Amino acid sequence: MSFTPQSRSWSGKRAVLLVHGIGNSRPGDYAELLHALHSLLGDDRDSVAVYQLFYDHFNDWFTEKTNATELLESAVKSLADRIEDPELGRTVAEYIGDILWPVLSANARACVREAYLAQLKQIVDDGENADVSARQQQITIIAHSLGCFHTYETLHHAAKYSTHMLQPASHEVRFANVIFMASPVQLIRTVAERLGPLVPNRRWLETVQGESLFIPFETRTNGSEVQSVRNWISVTGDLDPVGGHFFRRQADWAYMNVPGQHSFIDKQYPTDVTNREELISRLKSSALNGAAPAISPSDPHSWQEYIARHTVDLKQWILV
Amino acid sequence: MSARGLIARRARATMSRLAGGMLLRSTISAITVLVFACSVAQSQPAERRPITGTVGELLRAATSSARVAQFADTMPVEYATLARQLDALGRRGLDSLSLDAVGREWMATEGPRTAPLERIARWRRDDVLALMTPAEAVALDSLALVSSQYLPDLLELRVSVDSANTLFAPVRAFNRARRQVSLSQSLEKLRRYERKYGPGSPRLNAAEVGLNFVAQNVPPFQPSADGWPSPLELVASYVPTYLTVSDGRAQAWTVLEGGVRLYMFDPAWGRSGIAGVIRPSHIAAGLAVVNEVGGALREPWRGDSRLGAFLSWGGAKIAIVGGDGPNVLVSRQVQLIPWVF
Repeated sequence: MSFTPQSRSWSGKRAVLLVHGIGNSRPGDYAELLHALHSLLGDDRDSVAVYQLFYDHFNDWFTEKTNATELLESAVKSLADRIEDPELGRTVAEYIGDILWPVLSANARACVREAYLAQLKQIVDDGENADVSARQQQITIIAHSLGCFHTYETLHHAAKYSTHMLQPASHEVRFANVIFMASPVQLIRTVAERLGPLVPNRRWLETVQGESLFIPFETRTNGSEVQSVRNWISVTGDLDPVGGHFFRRQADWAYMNVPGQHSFIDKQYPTDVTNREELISRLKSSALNGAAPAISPSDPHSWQEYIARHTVDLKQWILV
Repeated sequence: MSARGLIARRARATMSRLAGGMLLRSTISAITVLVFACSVAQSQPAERRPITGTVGELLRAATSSARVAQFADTMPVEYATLARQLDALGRRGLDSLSLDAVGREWMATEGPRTAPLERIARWRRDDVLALMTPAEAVALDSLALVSSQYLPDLLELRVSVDSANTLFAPVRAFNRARRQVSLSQSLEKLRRYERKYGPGSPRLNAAEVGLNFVAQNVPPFQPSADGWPSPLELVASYVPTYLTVSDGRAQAWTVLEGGVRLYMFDPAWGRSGIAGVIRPSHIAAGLAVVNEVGGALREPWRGDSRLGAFLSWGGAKIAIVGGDGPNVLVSRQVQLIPWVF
C-alpha cells in the first residue's frame, strides 16, 4: 500500500491536521471525530481544510517483516522485570507494544516520520496553491497519544533539516497551534533513557535530545532562534496514565512539561457520572423504570472525550 | 395482573423505549456521519497552480524588498551577506532561467545524495547543475535563505501585508518549487521503505531480526540522517529447502546462509511478471555452509563442514559448495516457519 498524502482545496487560510494515536486506524476512520471538529467550528468550518494522517500500515510492515508479535511480548516481559519502579514497569507493560516500534526500530521511526513530513509539505503546498503563502497559513496540529510522539519527532526533524523546506525562519513555516492530547512523549523519553544502548540511532531520536523536552526551533544566520510553533499546548487528564497521571497524581517522569507550553489538565471521572446531582437523577430514573442504573465506565484516554471537553478552547485556538 | 407481571411488562416497555431511542439516535448519528463523510470526500484538491517567475525576477524581488525594508540600515551584517549573493548572481544568462526549473534542480535528485546545494557543490565539481555553476547555485540558495529569514518581518513593518506579499512573491515561488521537490523525495523514500519492509519483502527469522537490530547502529545499514533507508540487510538463515543431485538422485539439503541482501530501489527493478524475474526487487549473496555429508535438517557446523557461496536473485537461489565433489544446490526464498526458517 503506497502512501499518498491527503490533499485539500483551501477556501481560507486555516488548516487542521489530526494525528491519531495508539490503534489500528485506516483512512475513513475517525469520521465521528471529524464531525465533532466540524461541529465545533460552526459557520467557520468551510474555511478550515481538515487533514488526517494515517500511519498504522507502516507499523504493520515492520511487524509482519519480523514476525514481531512474539518479540514484543518477550520485550515487554523483560522490560517490566528490568525497571525497578513498579509503577513505571506496569505502565510500560501496558503501552509498550505500540511505543516500542518507533523507539527500537530506526527504520520504522524514519518511515512514519517521512510520511508525516510528506503530509506537512502537501498541506503547505495546498495552501500556497490557494495563494496563501506559508507565512500567512494558520496550521493547527491536533495529535493524540502516540501521535504526539510522532508529532514531536517530526517537528524537530523539520526544524533541523533544511531539505524538508519546513523550517520556521528559512521557509516561513510556523505552526499556529500544536495541541498534544494525552502525550506520552515524556514517558517515552524516560523509557528510552532507561533502555540505554538498546535504542538504535539514539542521536536521531529527538525525544531524548537536550536537557529536557523543548519546542523545536531554527537558528538564523545571526544566531537568533525562531520557534516552529506559536502555541504549544498540552492537554491531558488526571486519570490518564499515557498523559502522565496515575490516579490523579502527576508523575514527573511521565508527564510532558515542555518549557513554554500551555498546560491543561482535565478533571476526569472513572464513570460517565461526573457529579452528585447526576448520580441522584440516574438512580431515581432507574428506580422509576425498574432497570439497573445506567452508569458506564469512562475511558480516560478517549480522544473524542478530550475534544468534547475542549470544544470552546479548540475553536478559539484554531480560529485565532 | 400480578406485581411480578407488572414489573416485567414495565421493564419490557422501558427496554423497548430505550432500544427504540437508541436505534433512532444511532440512525441519526450514522446518517449525519455518512453525510459528513461524503462532504469531506468531496473536498477534492484543487488543480495545481503552476510556479511562475524567473531567477531575474527573484533577484529583483530580493533587491527591492531589501530597499523597501531598509535592510542595509536595520541589519547591516545580514544585508552584506545578501549583497554578496546578489553580486555572485550577476551573470546575464541567469536572468531568464525559470524558477520552477532551477528549484527542481536545486536538490539534483539523486536519492540519498540529495542535499542542499551547498553540500552538493562541496562534494561535486562537475556540471551536476546544468543551468548554473555550483557557486551560483550556492549563492542562490543563500540569497533565498537570508531573504526569507529576515525580510518578511521587516517588510511588514514598512508596507502593508499585501504589498509585502507582492514584493516577496518570487522568493516564495522558489521555495515552493523546492518544497515540491522535497515532497517527491519523501514519497520516494516511502516507496523504498515499502520495497524493503512492505508486503512481498523477504520475512526475517529470529537471528536476522537480532542481527539487523544491531546493524541499525552501523552506517551502511542504518537509515540516513534525513530518512533514506539503507538498501542493505543482513542474511543469516538455516534453509532446509535446497535441492541437489547427489549419488545420482535428487535430495533435499539444508544450508546455512550468511551474507548480505541488497534491495534494488531503482523503479526499473522489482516489477511484477517476467520483468521482475530478470530484475528482482532484491538480491543476496554470501557464504553457504552444509554438513560434511549433506542431507536435510543436518547441522551444517558438525564435522568438516563444506563451505561455498550462495546467490539469491529475487526468489530464486543457487548455492555451490565444495568438498570431495562440488555440489550445486537450488532453492526458492520462502519462510516455512515464522521466526525459525
